[in-house]
Amino acid sequence: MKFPREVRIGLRRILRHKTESFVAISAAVGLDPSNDFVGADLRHVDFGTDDLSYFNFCGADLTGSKLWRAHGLDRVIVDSRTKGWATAAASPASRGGGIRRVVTTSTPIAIRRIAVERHLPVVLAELGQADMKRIAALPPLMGEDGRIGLREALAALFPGQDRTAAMTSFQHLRARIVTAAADARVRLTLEVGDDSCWFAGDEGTAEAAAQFTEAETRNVVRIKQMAVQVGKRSVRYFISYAHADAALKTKLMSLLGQWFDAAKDYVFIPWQDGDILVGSDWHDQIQQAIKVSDLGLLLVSPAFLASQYIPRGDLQHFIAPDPLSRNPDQLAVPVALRGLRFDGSMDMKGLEARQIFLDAAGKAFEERRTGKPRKDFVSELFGKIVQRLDAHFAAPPAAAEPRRRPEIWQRDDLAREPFALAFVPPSGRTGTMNKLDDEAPDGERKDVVQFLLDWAREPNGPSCCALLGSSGIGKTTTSKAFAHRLLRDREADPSLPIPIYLDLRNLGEAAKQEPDLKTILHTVLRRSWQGGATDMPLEAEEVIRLVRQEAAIVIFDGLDEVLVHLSQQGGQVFTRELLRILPPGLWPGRRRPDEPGRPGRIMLTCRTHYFRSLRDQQTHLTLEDRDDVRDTDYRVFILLPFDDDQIRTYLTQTFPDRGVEPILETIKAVHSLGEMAARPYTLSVIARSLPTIERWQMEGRRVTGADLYRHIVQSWLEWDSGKHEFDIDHKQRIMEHVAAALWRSGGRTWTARQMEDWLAGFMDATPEVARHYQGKELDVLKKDLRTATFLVGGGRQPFQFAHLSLHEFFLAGYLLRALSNSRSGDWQMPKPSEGALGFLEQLIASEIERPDLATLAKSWLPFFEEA
Amino acid sequence: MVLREAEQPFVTLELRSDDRQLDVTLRGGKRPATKLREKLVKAYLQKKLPKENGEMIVWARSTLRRRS
Repeated sequence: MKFPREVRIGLRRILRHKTESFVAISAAVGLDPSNDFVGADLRHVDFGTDDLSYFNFCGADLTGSKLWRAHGLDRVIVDSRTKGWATAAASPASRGGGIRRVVTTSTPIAIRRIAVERHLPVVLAELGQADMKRIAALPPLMGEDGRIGLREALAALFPGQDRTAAMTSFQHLRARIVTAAADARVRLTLEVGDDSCWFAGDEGTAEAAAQFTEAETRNVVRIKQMAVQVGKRSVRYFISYAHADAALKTKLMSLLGQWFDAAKDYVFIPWQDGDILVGSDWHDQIQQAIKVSDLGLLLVSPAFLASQYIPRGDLQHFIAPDPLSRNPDQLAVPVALRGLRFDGSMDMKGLEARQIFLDAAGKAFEERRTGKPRKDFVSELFGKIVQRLDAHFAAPPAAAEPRRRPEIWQRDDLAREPFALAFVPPSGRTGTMNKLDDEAPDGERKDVVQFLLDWAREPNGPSCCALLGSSGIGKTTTSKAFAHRLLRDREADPSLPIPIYLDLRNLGEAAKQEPDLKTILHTVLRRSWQGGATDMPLEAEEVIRLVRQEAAIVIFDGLDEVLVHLSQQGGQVFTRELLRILPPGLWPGRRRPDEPGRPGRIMLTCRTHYFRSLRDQQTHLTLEDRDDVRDTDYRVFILLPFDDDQIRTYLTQTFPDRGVEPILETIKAVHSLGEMAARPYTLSVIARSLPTIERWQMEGRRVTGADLYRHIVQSWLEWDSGKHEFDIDHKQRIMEHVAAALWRSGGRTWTARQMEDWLAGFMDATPEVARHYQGKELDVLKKDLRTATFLVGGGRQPFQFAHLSLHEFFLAGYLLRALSNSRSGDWQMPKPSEGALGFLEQLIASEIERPDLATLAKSWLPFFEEA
Repeated sequence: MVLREAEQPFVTLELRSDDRQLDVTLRGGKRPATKLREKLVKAYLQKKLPKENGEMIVWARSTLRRRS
């Protein structure tokens, strides 16, 4: 008999789990606290200081176990069949006749009405008609604390019966509820005290939140997209060692761990499956670990090398053969744990001295027995690791740089200390939010969802995460895909946080009323309702509790789209309200140790160019440096545009029955459209326009670039309409004027100040537009302009049209409008580019009711100033 | 006295002769074979292994090797 593979993996996980924590190990193998320990044999188990809240130990045997140091005992579920509970939960001191620790589990706490109503439908379905009717009468009688007066309850359940008879019926009903709830796999009981009764069990909040997010994020179609990480880079590492060296390894890692925690540029995360012991499947495990790790430490000792599981030469698969190799599969670094002989008397399994780390005096870790030399060994090792990582991450792709000839590195090797594996000096890549623009292009690049998942899994990661990117780059799709993926992963690993996806766009006008946190959540939850897709209502208070106490990650999507409607001060107040969901006092490092629960995290998405300047962005997200929010509390990711492969993937998925190349040809044939395809949204607009283009072609119409641009601009304005203070026609007109003013200024870019001054002047000079916006603050209008979908910039970057061709298209629109209204003065400007004039020609040709325009335009050409 | 037993890569399962107790013994792990791990293995097997009439004991009785 052999266990199935899945079971063997689970067993291995239990046997190798790093902690002696009952809760952690059971979560790691997916044991359900509410079900899987009912009737379990838990004799002589030491539960340590674990939080056992909501573990169901009904019928379990706890004889001889140690429970008294554990937390959450008042929320453990036990019944009369549970053995050894009272003794196990009483402290040893109290057993000697002192005061017994009070264990209050015999009276489970009342759950609130909303939780009861979540569970009742499934439980009632297991009961008979009469019971269904009776029980349905109870929730309306529940008070704020979830309790119902016993007399009231009995009168509602069994009208006309005297108290004794009613109590007997009541006890029978309670028993039937227990059975029905068990059949429905729900934890719900009806409890009774001296003068009240109440429902107890699982609140089901987490499930409701998961269902809510599931409904919000299903059907997300996403092409893998890269992001750049700003700030500390995460480094996943694994350790491999021989069993005989276990104690020494622990000593080394406890010292090295302190250095890892203090690293300036890196966050070190141990490989999730723990350490790799030299053993029968060593080779496979290392291969697997290397695939997902940035660094491996092989703790080399005579025992390590003696292992029959490491054939001679095998180590070369994992260790760079020369210090210049940047082979990503060879990131394992051998460290001399115990003394080794490099005089040829030892079988080094193909390793050479220069490949193994020894300290400056050529000593191994074990040979440094006393405090300072030992600490120096570790400090030196840490320095080398950081040097190696800097080089690895800063290095350009191997193909881009010719390898230095072996004789050169051998020569260098002579003058080098043993571990100097890095030649490339570290680049100033890392930073925090205040270095956003400078660092973004050089930061770590990876699939953005993977970045987010790493952040979610990182034990001591920052509490906030900002996902930034320009308009239409895919922030919403990404955050939905992240939430969806996290929900899927949670099915296998329930210890992962619950994502709660909240689309702030649903707030709409309500944002202007200075809503508090509860109102914001309440409004978004109600309006997010996906056509009644979930039958488990979720309350604002529950979302707050999940985030503050049950490690949930709340995702606020579309922050800029709320802020754009608010004044600067109003926006600040709004963001502060959002962050109140997890006050800084609950963040790691600032939390009181006795604070109950596990705090979660906050993720925000926002356009990069929403803020007038980088400084504005930083001060806004850190709440103007008040409330103890620092830029280091954020993990920042910036979404990058699509590359060619991603565009092809998108087109293949959108048009599965067609060849990609002809479509790409069509796109490339139209003026500059190829470059615009790099943004997921524009690409989708282009793809959506394709049938239109083809229809036009079939109708024998000449399809021009202007046709496609008009189509795209129109779709963009409609898609963007929720964000506008200006109406769509005015926005188009303003964009035309911006294009002309920019062209006249001789540049393509404006600072935020220039743009705002221009707007104020435009509103003064154009009363027919200005009178529509008389009640509005100029601040709000300015912001609307800055966040116009057609413009990019912000931070330290000046504002400009998202693409030169868009600038040209709007400029052509400006010229056409002037032509139609006979305002020849508007044509006085430097001669427009060929692209703009091309668009103008196409636009004039499409005005079939004004055949005179072409002639007029020709006669106006001299108005342009030649460069 | 052990009535039936089966050796697995990581654990030994033993059904006691009184036919009421299925014992789990751990071996070969790199961590100490604590009671905590033993009991978690047992709870895990209880959840994962096929059962007969919902009972692991019944399953063990019919499946494990009889030891003379």
